[in-house]
Amino acid sequence: MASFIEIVDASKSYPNGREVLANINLSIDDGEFVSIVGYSGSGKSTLVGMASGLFPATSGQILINGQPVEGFPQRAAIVFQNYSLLPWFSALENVRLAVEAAFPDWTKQRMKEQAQQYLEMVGLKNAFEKRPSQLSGGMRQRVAIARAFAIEPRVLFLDEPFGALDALTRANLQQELARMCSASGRSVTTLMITNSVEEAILLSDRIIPLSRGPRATLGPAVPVPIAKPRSAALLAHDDEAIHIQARSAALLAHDDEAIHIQARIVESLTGFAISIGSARPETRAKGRPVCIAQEVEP
Amino acid sequence: MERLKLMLYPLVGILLVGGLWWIASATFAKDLPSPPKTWQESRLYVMAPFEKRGEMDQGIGLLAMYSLYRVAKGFLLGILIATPLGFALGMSKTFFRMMDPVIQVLRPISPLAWLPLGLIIFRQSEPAALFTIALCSMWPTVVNTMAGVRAIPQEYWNVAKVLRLSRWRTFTKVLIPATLPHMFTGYRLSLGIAWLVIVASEMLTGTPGIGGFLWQEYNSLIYAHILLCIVTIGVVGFVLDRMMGMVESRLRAI
Repeated sequence: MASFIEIVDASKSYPNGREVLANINLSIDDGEFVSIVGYSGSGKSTLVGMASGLFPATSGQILINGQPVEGFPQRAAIVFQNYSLLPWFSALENVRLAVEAAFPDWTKQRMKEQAQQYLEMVGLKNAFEKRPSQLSGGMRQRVAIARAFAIEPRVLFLDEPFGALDALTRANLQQELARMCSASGRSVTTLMITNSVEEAILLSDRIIPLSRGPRATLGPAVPVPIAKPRSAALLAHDDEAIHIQARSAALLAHDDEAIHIQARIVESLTGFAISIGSARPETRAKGRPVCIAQEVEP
Repeated sequence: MERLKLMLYPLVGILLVGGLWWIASATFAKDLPSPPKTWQESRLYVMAPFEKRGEMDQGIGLLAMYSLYRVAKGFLLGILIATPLGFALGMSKTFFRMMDPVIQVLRPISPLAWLPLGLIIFRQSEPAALFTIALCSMWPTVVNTMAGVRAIPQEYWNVAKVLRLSRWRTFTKVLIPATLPHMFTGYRLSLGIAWLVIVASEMLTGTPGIGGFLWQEYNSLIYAHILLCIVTIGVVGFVLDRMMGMVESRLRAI
């Protein structure tokens, strides 16, 4: 598979001279779902803003589908943490505006149908005419997800998409997003930024830690070769979860932060195995090597 | 009970000020007509507000209508210039740096100063009056629209970028709706000033209207009518402001 998003030696400094990101190298395959996991304030949002062309990188190169990125690319969508809906439009109008801009040749009727279809897919059949202010946080983010998928994107950026939601809504929407990704039937290359390792494991093909800023950079990747769609229950029947623990342990780098984040990945994978294990004793035995993370700590 | 209080308190306030007026007219300001005398002499104008007896001798409602019509024209002209100007100032730093000193200097100039200039330029009183109203009333709209554009959160600009909206779309779907509440605050303040200016411009041009009438009655020594005009101007201004305020609060509710 050819790499669809390619970031080469990119860095980002702000006018005050603070270098937020340095030596960012990332290659995402066509249709791959990659998550960047890092602490808040480590420059995660800057990374997604830079990768998506919302603002230019200070140095280095960003290619999407072989083309250098200048401005936000076509057939790309982004979901922000703060929903970013236009408050003067209804849910339907918010989605339709995106459809109109992405498919200017379509008839009005088709644009409307497309918007309705995607709002229905996220379970907002009865909220077409509601303004964002009349919707709960979770519903607003559903509108934002519908808006992102309605343009049938080839690239999807997710900037802590569920960060502002409560735990229950968060879990719901994670499932919803996983379903949307697989239901779209097209290959959507996705770059997600998150501070939740659990979320990353649930959704992605590869997890990459971002060290703490300034001069934050990416650590070695941890692949998650578990069949999708995933859920806590499905992961329980999969031995891969244990395999990933060993793998991520072996990948531990010299960077203290990376070690720390990877340790957390391992921990949380173990956590999966254990919570599952309580129901299924045989996996619990395999899910044991919790200590790997501690052993490698310097 | 609460409702009664709400009605009663303003009434007490009005009576209080009326009392002061009465005392003033009875003591040191002998030429100032007392409230009952004012009412007596104004009755005809108030009771038949839309009657036309001569050029200036008309019911107070009719006179107020002339003035309102003139204000409406001047105000519309003013905001037609001010709104695009405000957008331009809000969007372009360069343009702002260019125009800001000019605006700050033009803003405090009194209508009494603009009017003669208007008369020189247009040679007729009506366009000169409109010119004055427009020039004096446009500044709150300019300043508020500009502030509104600047206050648009980055979030909305990002939406426009991410959806790859055309310039025109960005303008109509993001910029204007986001600025609308600020714009209307500007319109409300501008309308207030336009109404303030009408009296001055009608006084100096002698055109029929509430200000023209006021000035004529002063010259004819019928002082009661001056007070009638003052009260009318106040009431009309208050109603206008309330109406604009209602539109504004509806826009803010979004």
